[in-house]
Amino acid sequence: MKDVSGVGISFGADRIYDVLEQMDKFPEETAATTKVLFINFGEKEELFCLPILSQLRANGINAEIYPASHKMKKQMTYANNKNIPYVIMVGESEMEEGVVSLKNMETGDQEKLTPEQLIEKLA
Amino acid sequence: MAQKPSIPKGTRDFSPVEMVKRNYIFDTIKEVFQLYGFMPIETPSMENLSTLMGKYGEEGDKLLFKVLNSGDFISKVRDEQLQERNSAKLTTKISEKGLRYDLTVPFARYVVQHRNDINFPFKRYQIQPVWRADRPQKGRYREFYQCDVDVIGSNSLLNEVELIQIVDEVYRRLQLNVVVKLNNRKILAGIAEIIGEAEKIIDITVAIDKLDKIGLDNVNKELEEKGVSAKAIETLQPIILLSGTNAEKAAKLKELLADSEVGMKGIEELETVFNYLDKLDVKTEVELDLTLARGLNYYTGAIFEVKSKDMEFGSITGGGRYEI
Repeated sequence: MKDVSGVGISFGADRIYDVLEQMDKFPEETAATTKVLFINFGEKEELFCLPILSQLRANGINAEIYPASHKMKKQMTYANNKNIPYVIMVGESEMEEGVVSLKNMETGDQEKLTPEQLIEKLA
Repeated sequence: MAQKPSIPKGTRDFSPVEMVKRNYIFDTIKEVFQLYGFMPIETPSMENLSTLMGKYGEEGDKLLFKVLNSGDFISKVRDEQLQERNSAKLTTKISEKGLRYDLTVPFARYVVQHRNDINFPFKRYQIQPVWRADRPQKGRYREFYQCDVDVIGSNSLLNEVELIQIVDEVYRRLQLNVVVKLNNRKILAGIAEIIGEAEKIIDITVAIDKLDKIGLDNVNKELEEKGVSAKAIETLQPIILLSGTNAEKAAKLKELLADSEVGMKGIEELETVFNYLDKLDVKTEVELDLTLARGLNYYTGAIFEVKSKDMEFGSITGGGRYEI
């Protein structure tokens, strides 16, 4: 086309990546996309957990449940490898009280929370 | 799997951890582009070879990935053409398409093809992979992403200013310290004009660029070796030694290039951009750098380059003004 002028720039994504990596400037949170993992203890617990999982997702919280009730250690390893900061554990007592146990994977701290408190804490 | 699985040389898989980091970069860039009114487009991975060939020089043509025609393509090729064993000639018979080599040429094709539907000035951004049949090396890949942002159909220098603001904003968000190097093709043309060595302008900028590393005497020696006349070298001295603030450099250049119309136009453009920037909240350092000559044959006005201040590294962003 005649006399059509343009001006532009190009960002080098690979080089920016290398600089961010070397300068250690990637934000911490980007390493973990899932905020919380429900540990799967079996069918009964699953049914209790799934509506709460849906509630978390509806509130924009990245959450998942381990798809089968495998050994606890295997599920925790999965959470660790994926850098998931929290896990939720639900057993008989939690189901009776209508709460979940939230474990902070970094500090090891554990607390019992109602679904509402849980959303407030993780949102 | 019988064979150890692998991918072509120079290509990469990205793991979830890497992708989260890559997306952090892409998302940051996209957000800023949109903040300035740029809209996304995408073009196909394949373009017609007629669009791509001849746009990147002879070397570039060789670095294009060509896609074989579908079907029994070889049956239509005459025997003598096969006998000739001329790859370039045979390619035209068996391949009509190629993978895009950059985003600029497909974008220029897009603008021409859709010119009646485009709302000018056209502000678009494009983030897509490109392919180059280069020999893979450390940090050089055969498939990589480009993130381009362009305005077409406006001569206003406000566009240059906004691109610098975009650079400022992107790297502020990414928390990287950078410096923007700014030059103008018209100033380089003016220098070439006053010393009468227009065709040596690239040799000259390359030599000037080495001043800090090798010193003035060696720069002059290199210019001499490149065939620049003694008189031209003499005239170049104040340009090679140009220093001070951007305003001081511009003032000095005005004296030196007073007899060159194109050179004076270049300085005026540069000063306009600097005047805008003074009034805006641009934290990033912007520095006039006469040695900046990237893609010289292609640019007609402003030339930009962004360098990391924290790391010795090539440019991490670059561009300029061009005609399509």
